[in-house]
Amino acid sequence: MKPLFEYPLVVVLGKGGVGRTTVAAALGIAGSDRGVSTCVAELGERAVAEALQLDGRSFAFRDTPWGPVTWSLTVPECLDDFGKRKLHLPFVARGLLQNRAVSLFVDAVPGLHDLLLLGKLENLLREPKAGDPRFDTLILDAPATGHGLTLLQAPRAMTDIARSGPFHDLAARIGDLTDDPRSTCLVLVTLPEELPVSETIELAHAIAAQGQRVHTIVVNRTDPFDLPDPPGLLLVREVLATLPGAAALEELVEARQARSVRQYDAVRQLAEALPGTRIVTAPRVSPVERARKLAAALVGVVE
Amino acid sequence: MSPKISICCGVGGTGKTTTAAALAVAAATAGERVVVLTIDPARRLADALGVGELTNRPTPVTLEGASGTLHAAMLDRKGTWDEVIRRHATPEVADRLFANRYYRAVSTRLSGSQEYMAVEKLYDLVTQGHWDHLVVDTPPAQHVLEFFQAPERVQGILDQSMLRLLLEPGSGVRGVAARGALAVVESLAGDRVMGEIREFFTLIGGLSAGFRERSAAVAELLRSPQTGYWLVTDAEAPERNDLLGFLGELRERGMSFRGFLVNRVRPEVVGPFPDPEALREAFAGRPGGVEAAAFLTALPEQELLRARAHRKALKDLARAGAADAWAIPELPGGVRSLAGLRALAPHLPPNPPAA
Repeated sequence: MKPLFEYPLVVVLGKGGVGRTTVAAALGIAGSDRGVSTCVAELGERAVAEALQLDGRSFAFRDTPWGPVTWSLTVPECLDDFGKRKLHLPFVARGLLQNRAVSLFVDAVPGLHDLLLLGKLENLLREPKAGDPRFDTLILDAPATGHGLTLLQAPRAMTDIARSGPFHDLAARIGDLTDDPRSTCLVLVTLPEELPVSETIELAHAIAAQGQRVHTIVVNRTDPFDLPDPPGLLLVREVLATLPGAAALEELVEARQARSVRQYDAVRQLAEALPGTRIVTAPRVSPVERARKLAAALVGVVE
Repeated sequence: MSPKISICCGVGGTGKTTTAAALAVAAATAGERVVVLTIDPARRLADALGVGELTNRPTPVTLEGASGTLHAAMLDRKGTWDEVIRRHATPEVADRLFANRYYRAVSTRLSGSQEYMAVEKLYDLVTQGHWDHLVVDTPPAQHVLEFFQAPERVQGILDQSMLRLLLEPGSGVRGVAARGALAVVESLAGDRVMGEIREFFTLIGGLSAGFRERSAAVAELLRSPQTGYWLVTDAEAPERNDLLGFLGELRERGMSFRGFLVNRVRPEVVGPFPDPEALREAFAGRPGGVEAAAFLTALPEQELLRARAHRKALKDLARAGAADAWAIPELPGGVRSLAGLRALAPHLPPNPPAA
């Protein structure tokens, strides 16, 4: 696979609580640090903006102190934009799109939310207008629900229901972008624990089944494997066993060892289940300047 | 008598599924007839419980020496939708719905329908009358409140108002606007889609009285004092603001909050530890001894800081939420089996008697 920043679209997937947003923001920073212009987008949230030191959310592109641009898209904003760009509706007619009938309809058609949001991304990447910002790489922090997989399935879901018409065309165009292995790559975020890892394996298989490929899996919050390696551990055990007053220390050593082994096993399980997939571990970082610190640690993902 | 219900909420990745399973195991051990309903397709949980596969129907779990019983089920969204339709519709209407492409999309992909079906399944289990206690793991979500809002949202979609707007936009200025909007929608989606959608809403519209009655009963169940809510979090990443926001919403809605369950809390670090000098001497002259001694000298302090940070997170949560925060210890080997789940029992809140 190509280096990460040679893809116009990077989608970061992972369930809530694994640090997905921080990883997305950190990848944006890592790009900026390397002279790549990046935009980190999120869907209606403000978590990316906050990870990059801004308050609140905005549909306008905003510069951040650490380099990447942030962007937060919601369905009504994208629907209005769709009316303007694709349907060429004048301002007055676009008022119709705010009608309750339309919003009920948009809510009621599965995947339509996702399509409108992805459509805006596709639009920016493939048909930028004069005045639109240009980015080398757009990084999308996918929603936690359904592991973000439903988002990637939305184009196909729509082409299943609608065989023609503007929604069908929209879905086909987005599918063209997200299914194109030269344009889009996926980064998965997980934790070095059994359940998150087994779920990530299932997610990676589901992704492969729909013909997409995983660029890298980031195993976040991995503790350094810092016990002296096995001969060292044997030495530690041997010496502590004879040292008076070392019982409490022995217990700490064994607990630390068990935790390291557990994390190591989780990463190994991932590697064995997904041969050929790049797996990068990332350290636990303190909340202060979290994304900034993580960016420095994600060298393995971007190079 | 209606059963007790324990609902585990929280962002994903915090051990919610495992915690729900541990609560269920503890309650069954203490003598209750328990069913645990999980949402995530977590094969590991099935393995830990020692059952082959979890499905929509409760599967018995063998729990040696327990005075109660334990069953486990996993939500099957599509299957539960089909059950709901069969319950409310004549076989003929049900068959037409099952063949409708739009119904298939709604039952497998509509956002919020997983939460809606989780609540449906919960109600279904309650009305079966076989259980003393239901433990529920909620779907992973960015905002934990989605669990309660999603069923209402989906109900709103199924509600007659959509049908009316589609079939009879009405007259007057609003009617004209709705007609215009519909024309836009129709031109976007195409005839075929609109045909399927009209058929769906016509069929489902006939069932809406049944839906409404049931959803009122479900809403009452979720607010009942028998139904307790636990907020599950991880000692390393307590996401305090998210949790407190959710707690506020729970209380605003009059739901019974039981407390915080904080996972993977490090045990207290209690010495005494050998002093650095003694360690250096003990390792003197051994290959790798200098590094080993340095590592061992730093270890207690590192672990102490972590354990302290966890205790502080617990205390902060308890104080800010004015509620109990239970420390569930990290098991060094992780929770991989029934034995692991049972080992957590002494650390879980005491099983409250049914009201």
